[in-house]
Amino acid sequence: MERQGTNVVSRPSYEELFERHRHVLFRYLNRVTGDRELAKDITQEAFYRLVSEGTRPDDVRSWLFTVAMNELRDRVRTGERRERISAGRELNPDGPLRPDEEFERRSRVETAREVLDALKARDRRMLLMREEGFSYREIAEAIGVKTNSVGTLLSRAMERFADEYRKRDAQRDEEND
Amino acid sequence: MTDAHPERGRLLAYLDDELTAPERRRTERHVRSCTECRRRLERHRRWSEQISDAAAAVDVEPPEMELHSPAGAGGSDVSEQRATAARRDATEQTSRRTSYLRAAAVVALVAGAGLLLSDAPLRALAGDVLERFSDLFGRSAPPGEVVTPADVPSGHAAESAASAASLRPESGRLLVDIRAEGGNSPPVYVRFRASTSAVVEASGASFETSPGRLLVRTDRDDTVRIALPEAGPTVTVTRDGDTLLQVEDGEVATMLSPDTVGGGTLLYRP
Repeated sequence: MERQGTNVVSRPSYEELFERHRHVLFRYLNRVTGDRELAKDITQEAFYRLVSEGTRPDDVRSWLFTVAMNELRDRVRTGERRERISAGRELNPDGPLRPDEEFERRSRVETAREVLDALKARDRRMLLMREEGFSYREIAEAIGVKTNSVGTLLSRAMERFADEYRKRDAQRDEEND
Repeated sequence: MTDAHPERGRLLAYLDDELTAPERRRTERHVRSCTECRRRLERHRRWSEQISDAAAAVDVEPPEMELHSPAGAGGSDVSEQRATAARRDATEQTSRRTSYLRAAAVVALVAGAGLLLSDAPLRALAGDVLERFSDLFGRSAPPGEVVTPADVPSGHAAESAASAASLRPESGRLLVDIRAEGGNSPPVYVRFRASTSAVVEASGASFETSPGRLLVRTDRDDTVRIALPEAGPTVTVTRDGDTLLQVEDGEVATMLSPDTVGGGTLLYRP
């Protein structure tokens, strides 16, 4: 175990928590809403709440996601926003793609966007929380369901996702023929 | 096979390592002897992989964001934040390699802090170590930070105790060794996300795979080794010195014992 000449800080500062969690929270919200600006806004709002309430939850990541999701729910309810998947992939870590690769990429993104968009909001949120590695207990708390029903709800949501995916894929194949 | 088929939620919970040890053993026993349930399990794995792909496809570059603090909020944290910002500014002047090593030091400290606390759950600790590495990789981090138990996700029941853990850089890789107490103690789980650039060597451990995830398990006196390279799309999974799975440039180069690696499902996509 390596513990060489270091200073011990008893707890991370808010800024350190921000650095640690902001990208993951933003990624999740962007996946759920497909709205980059909205995802950014709610990410910042969640951290603002953390700081302004002076709270130190045991599980900061879970707390932030729950607050963010409540905020999103409020905005959707008041009609300010609609959950939708409209963002295209901007990440391109390996540089420009060849035209055929670019076509393939666009097609993949489009299908993903359509399929996620076709899901019910709760299904989408649950699946994407699982994708972020949250435990069933954390998903249950954030979504507002019982922990012991999470497995079944997720399994059904996965099947609906796969059905949608198959449908879109078949449609796309027909269009390309 | 005489027991009833596990319902769909339980089957997925098995895949996600969400069952208690007795439930998991019962489900494992059933799945091993039931072709239909193995098929159902495989279906869930496939769905999971599709969802991972779709989620990653809509990702965008994260924007610049700022932490907005209300005036007076944070109390003593304000000076701490300033000090942190100053440390970060200094750190950002250094090379990527230095950042990498600093990140390694932070991860080592996280592991160290967890081990000093007898009730620190290893599963959470191991997950935390890797998640933090993922968070920190590729950017600077203030040196000398120790994460306290408050940072370890609550609700993780302790599943085992670690007798030792070490972390060291070696030939451009970062090696995390977690030694578990064997005997009758419950298994050690090390879960991490394959969506990070992490590469895995699970030495002396069994493992299960599902899309986007690899679960390493050992229920005997063993060392779980996780090798995290600086970069590179190669995945190697070994057990007792044998290469079980090797993925190079997204193609399976070597795959022994396909049953063990999930019926040939490729789980890591660089």
